[in-house]
Amino acid sequence: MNPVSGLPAVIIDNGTGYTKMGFAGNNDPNFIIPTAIATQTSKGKQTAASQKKGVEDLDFFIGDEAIANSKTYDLNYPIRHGQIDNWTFMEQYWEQCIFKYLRCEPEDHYFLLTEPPLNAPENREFTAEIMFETFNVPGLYIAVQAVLALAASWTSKNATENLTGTVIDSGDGVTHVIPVAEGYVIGSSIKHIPIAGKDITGFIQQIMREREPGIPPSEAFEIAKRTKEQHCYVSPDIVKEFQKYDQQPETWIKTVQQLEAVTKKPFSYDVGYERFLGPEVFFNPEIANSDFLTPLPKVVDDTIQSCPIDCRRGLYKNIVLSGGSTMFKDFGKRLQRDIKRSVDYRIKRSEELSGGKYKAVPLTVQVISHNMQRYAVWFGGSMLGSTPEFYNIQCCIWWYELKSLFLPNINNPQFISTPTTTFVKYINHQKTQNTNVTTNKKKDQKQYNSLEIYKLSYIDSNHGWLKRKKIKI
Amino acid sequence: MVFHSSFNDDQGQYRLVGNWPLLPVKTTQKGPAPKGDPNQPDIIDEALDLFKANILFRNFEVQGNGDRVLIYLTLYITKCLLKIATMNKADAEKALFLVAQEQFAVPGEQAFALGGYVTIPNTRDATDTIRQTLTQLRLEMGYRLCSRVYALDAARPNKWWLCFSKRKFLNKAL
Repeated sequence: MNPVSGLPAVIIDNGTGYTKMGFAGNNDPNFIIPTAIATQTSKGKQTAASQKKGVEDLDFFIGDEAIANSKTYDLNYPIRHGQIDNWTFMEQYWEQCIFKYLRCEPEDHYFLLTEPPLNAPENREFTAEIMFETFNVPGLYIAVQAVLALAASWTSKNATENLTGTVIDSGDGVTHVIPVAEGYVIGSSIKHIPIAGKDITGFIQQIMREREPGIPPSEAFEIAKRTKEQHCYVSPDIVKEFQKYDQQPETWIKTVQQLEAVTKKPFSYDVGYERFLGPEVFFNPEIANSDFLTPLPKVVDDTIQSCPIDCRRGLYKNIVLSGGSTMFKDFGKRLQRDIKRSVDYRIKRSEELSGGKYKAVPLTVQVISHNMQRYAVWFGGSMLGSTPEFYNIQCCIWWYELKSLFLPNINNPQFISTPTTTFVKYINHQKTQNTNVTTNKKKDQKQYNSLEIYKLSYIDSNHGWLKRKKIKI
Repeated sequence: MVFHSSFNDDQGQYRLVGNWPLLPVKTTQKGPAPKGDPNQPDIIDEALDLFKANILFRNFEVQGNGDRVLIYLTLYITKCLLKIATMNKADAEKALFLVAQEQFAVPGEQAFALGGYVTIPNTRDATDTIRQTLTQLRLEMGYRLCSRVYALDAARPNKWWLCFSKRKFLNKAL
């Protein structure tokens, strides 16, 4: 809650495909709309709104309205691969998010925005500049999506309430595997897989095109998407699954009747093998794609193996799912089984190689599924934003900016990660670093001095959330 | 991962021609293969069971001699499915009987699809044995494939089989 106005924080999670927005403390976002904006950029074309002189820059739509107006306007997607691609459009997008959708005064609410892991500091700076100077928000927090997803998993009964774990975030465009240790993202170990929702849709579409001549080509994509969302599940063994379908087609194969959108002619199609073959792409990418062959469980295992050895057990124990493409039934179960299999094999091998001298402590592999997976990032933000402690978290964009000054002094750059814990912790951390400074170059010494200045000005401000103009570096 | 043949492990149990095993087949067709146990699935059942899963893959690491037969049969099923796409059961059985016996390539010939997978037989006798065992497998496969593909409707092949005919297993075709 804003200590002055008493209003809850606004949580906006801008993803490549969809934007989730709402208020802290709620269970669901108020709006989930495509991250799309329709603008009137080309001259000469006139619409009703732009005929009134001087309001051309207000003549745009976002979200579903943008897509509905894509014939007369230019449709743009301001976020590419999770990162903001076009800042002008993004500013306009936020403008309507705040004033048209959420209908709130940005001066009265704190704002929580999200960013992908390893986001460039410049992007945070631009975001803060827009938020503070255009919208004049009282406070801004830019959280790492993976950490929020971890926090969201606390709703599951199996979850351990800590900020160590591996986040598997699979949306429409790309799947990330992000290890987080005590709230710090282990940046050097993050892995991306080019398999996500749209690849599964494409694969399903291909299978159905080969088999179902009844589907009109204009509807093929939508049908594939709907099949993916409504019928798909993960099977433990595809050979057995094929046999089930062949022996009892009437229970497994579903026939769908539908009307063609334009001509209203009825057509029908069967939904069969693609129900389990679609999600199988995560576990055997080879079947859909010849470029990328590593199965997701192997990527997760490799990711954790590349992390510092002392946090690996924690990472295996808390594998958290986030994003719409992890929603398939039994996805977590299969993932857990496959990771467990390769981990057990490795332990067995090393015990054999040691000649039976060493016995390893059994390793727990646990994949956590929960009901909030679809908007895990937003929900995590809503949860954190509703706790009073959250407003004391003294963490802000400036923190991030300093990281670049800070970086060369760390003995092992692998352990540096995007900061997410409290500023207090950070100062402590930094003090311990300072003891080493004497051995470092003068240049670094200078940087630390500038840090001191920053710290003072930070602590001088009357609450944890910074106002941009107070800060000098 | 691809599904491998269960006949990989039985080393030394089957007669080998080069690295091509003469696996038991439950069949009445004449040929060099030993008689299969009627209660156990043989290599042809296995190939039919694994076909829909394996056809999706582009890579197949041969882990034993059984896999060589499995790959050959998988490719042969694709060939059959393409052949019978528009036929009814009676026509399909006839067509597959002819396909099984037509002139086909054997290991050592340029046109053999699995060059590199199967060693070239060194004597004429060995070549003949392989040709006979392949013919036997092809005949039996054609027969059993028809019984599965036309199980529901004798007039038309099952589309849940035909939908795999356009895929190219290992980028090869017989």
